[in-house]
Amino acid sequence: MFDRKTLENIRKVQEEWEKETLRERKEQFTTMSGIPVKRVFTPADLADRSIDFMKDISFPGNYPYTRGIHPTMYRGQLWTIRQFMGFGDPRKSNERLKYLMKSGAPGLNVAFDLPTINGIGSDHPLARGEIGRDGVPVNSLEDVEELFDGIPLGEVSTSLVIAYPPIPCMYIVVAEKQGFKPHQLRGTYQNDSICRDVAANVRVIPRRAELKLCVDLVEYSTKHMPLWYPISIVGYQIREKGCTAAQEVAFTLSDGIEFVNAFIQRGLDVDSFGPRLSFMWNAHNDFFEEIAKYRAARRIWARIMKERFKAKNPRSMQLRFHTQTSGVSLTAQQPLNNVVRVAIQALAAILGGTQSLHTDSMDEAMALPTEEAVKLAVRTQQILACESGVTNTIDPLGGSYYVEWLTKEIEDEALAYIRKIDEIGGVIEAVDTGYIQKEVTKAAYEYQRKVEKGEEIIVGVNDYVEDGEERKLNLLEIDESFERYMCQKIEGLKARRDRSAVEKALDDLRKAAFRDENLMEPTMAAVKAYATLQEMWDVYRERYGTFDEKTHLHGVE
Amino acid sequence: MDRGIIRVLVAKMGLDGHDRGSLIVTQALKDAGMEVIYTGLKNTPEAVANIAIQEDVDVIGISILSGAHLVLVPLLFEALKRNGAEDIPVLIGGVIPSPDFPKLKSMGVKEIFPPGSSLDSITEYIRCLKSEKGGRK
Amino acid sequence: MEENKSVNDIVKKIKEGHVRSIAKLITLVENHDPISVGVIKHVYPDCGKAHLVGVTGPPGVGKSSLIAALIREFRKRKKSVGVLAVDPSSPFSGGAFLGDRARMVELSGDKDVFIRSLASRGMAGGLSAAVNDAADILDVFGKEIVLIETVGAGQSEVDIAKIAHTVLVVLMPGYGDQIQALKAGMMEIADILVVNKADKEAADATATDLFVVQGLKSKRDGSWAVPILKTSALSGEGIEELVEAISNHYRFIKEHDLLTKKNRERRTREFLDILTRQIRDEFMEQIEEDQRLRQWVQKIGDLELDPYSASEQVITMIREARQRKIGKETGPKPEAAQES
Repeated sequence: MFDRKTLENIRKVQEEWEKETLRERKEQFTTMSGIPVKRVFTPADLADRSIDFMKDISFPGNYPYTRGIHPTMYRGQLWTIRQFMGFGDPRKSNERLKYLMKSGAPGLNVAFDLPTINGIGSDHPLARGEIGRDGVPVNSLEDVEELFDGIPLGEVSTSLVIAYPPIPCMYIVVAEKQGFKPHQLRGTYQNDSICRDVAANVRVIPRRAELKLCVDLVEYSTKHMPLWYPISIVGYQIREKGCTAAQEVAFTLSDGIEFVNAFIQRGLDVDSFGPRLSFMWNAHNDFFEEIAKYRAARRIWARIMKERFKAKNPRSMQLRFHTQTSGVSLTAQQPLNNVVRVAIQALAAILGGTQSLHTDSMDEAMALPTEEAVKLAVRTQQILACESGVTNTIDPLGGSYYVEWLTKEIEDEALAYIRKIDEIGGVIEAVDTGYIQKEVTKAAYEYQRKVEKGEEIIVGVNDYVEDGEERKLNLLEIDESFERYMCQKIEGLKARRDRSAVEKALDDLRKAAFRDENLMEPTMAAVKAYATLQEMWDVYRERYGTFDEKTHLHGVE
Repeated sequence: MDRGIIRVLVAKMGLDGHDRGSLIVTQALKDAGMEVIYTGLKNTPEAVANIAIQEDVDVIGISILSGAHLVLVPLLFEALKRNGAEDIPVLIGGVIPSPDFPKLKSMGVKEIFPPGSSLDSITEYIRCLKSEKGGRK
Repeated sequence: MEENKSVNDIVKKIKEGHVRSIAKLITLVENHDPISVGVIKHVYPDCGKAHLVGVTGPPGVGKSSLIAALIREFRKRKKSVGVLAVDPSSPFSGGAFLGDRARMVELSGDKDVFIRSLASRGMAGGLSAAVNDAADILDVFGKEIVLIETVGAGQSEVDIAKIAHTVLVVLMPGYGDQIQALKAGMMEIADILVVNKADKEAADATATDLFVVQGLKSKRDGSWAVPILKTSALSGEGIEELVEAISNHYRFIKEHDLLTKKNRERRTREFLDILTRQIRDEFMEQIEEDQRLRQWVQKIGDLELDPYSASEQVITMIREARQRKIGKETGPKPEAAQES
């Protein structure tokens, strides 16, 4: 990008400039992930890494999409405000959905509670105490009907943070009842069983069986739902577990590789599903590192899709993503501080070119957010969008010597991990053998040690600490009334529905499962007959067995 | 004599899948010279009580981030009591809203370690518990 | 005496099957508490009914999951089972991560299964010094099978062979180097070879390799033909056959009079271990009291005194110290004055 003579001159002057040893605050400055950072970066640093404008940076909407996947980005359309929510019971969550839409957050983003995610009913013994605490409980089609009551599903974009067929089928059936066909629906399923497994420790059936169900969803979606993203490959969770930025990229993209391989094995053409893949990233504290991370991820994925999987459609090479600001970075101490943290993290995601964004609320270190807190989180995005001017141009940090260098740095580190995982035999193998868990646990532990030594400062926690009363916030309460309500509903449902229709549907589902067919249609039939989530899951468990929790490796040395 | 070696049970109860904290604490306790029995995820309170008894641990450390603590902790104490082991101290770490601290303490929880608690403070607290007990009987 | 009262209490509780007391007793054993010694002395004659099965092998082969599967199968056959799962203590911190339990959690509620995790606490052979006594305690407690799990640390894994009646060496398919490591000693202690994770592709090949290396005869028990079994702890495949093989081996050694021999060897070895440890403890105590000893240890470190000579001198010193003690208790003897 710069001619040789200019570069030589720069290097010469820099040498002079660095000759004097000046005092600095620390021995070494590093990013949050531990990448050593120099005092200043120059064109020489870019030249040293052989960064080429046309090959590596280029233009937004042009391969390798480092600067963004669209030629107009936010000048054409702002990112979608998509706030993650779900709690209590379907009625309460329905209220919150409407509240969010009214506040100007049009993207729906629904979390489901732990029993639901684990495929058990609200009346199951293991569900005690867990109903509605960190997501909506869903036991049957009835609940999804209640959840979206009064919300026209053909006119919104919904992210369902769930994997496996039952709930997506419920959504499609509710939409149909409202008069919308599958091909009109816009949204995403998370559907990332690998992330769920390793990062969120959600494991219901064996890993490879989970992958099979994931592919079922994608296959169905590719045929019937052209506007839908049937998978969101997630890096958010594993970053929350404590890995570094480069690891977040590497483990997630390796995930992506595993999925793409699985879809291709199912017989789907790479360009038939390529444009419908989506990702989800974390937005953590280190501002520039996060921005560089998003750029690196886009560049790596574009090359993987083009060179490794031979995609032809440019849209298959574009890494489109949703971002959620880091939950683990929030503190219970001095919760107002979290508003500031989230604003900075959101800004990083925006400068990194996210397609949709969730901002955490200030009280989320302690509980699910109140209406007041979530509104402020939404306003944060709106202020950034409307008042800050950062959306006036695309990838404004492109060309920054630091950011371009850091992008390359993260790219190189991530590629090394991806290669390693390839050597092990893919990401599922890497998880079976505990490689990923070990790396993540190690990184998390090292970071914690740094915090305790005071090398990493968390304001309000290990510095600027305030003794005495923490500010009393009004927190959202989840009580046992939700559990009772849900259990009553199940009872009522089982009394009302047509028993024989349910049994037939479940039987058909069982047969299809044992014949290894795509389970979307049979699940949809069971959903329509008002089979409960647990009943459908019990059939899956019959076929695939239950994941043996005892074999999971945790990575402690 | 190895009188001083402290045995700790680190357990996760319920469906909660967040184990970053419990893994880090496990590592820290091990580095501090303690023997840590880690149960992994998805344990019922009854199972945790049984394990604590068979392993004759000096302290039970529960990690809960799902919000289910007010339901599951009493069940744990019930199970311990049923088996004559209510003298084993129970500590809790995780996302616990401060209004719940007094409730948990009245159930019998000795101490609560919310997010931001240092690993050293947990280690020290456990050491104090053990030395208060005056060595092993 | 106070101590006797406690010993009797504990013995009573064990015979009643009081789980908490048994667990606490094992802790006392781990801490070399004199009360536990009293208890062991008491119950020793009642030992000898349990079948001790050692399970060893390199890390990562799925020993814990295999043990969980074995327990389930034994329980189907109404056997009462004990497990001692040993993990290494960190040489730096002295702490340990005892994670084997996590693989057996669902069995925690079964009254007839007792699982205890032990840290090696400095023992080189991958075993804990408490294993012998803990196994005896579980024996007296009524456990018919006691599974002892240890990590195969290459050469030093032979200790398990000196305690267990039946040794399972567990391997995994495709683990290329393991055949090499095995030649170092593990193959020789195996009574049964298990290739776990048999659902993996290389399982058959590994089984064949092992067959070739192992040959037909057991190194330990003469005419016992070491079976090579394929198992998948996850699916349950091969577990019934494995349990059969374990029972067969026990029958075999009983019929061929090898059980008595093994028990004898175990107890002799145990005696020598205890004796060595007690002498060493005695010595360490003496160092506290005797400045001469301390200086000596320093001389060895400074290369002024070779360890052999030092050892000989120490033994003499201990004799002297004992004589002095006896002299104090019974009054000065004429001979004592001549000792230097």
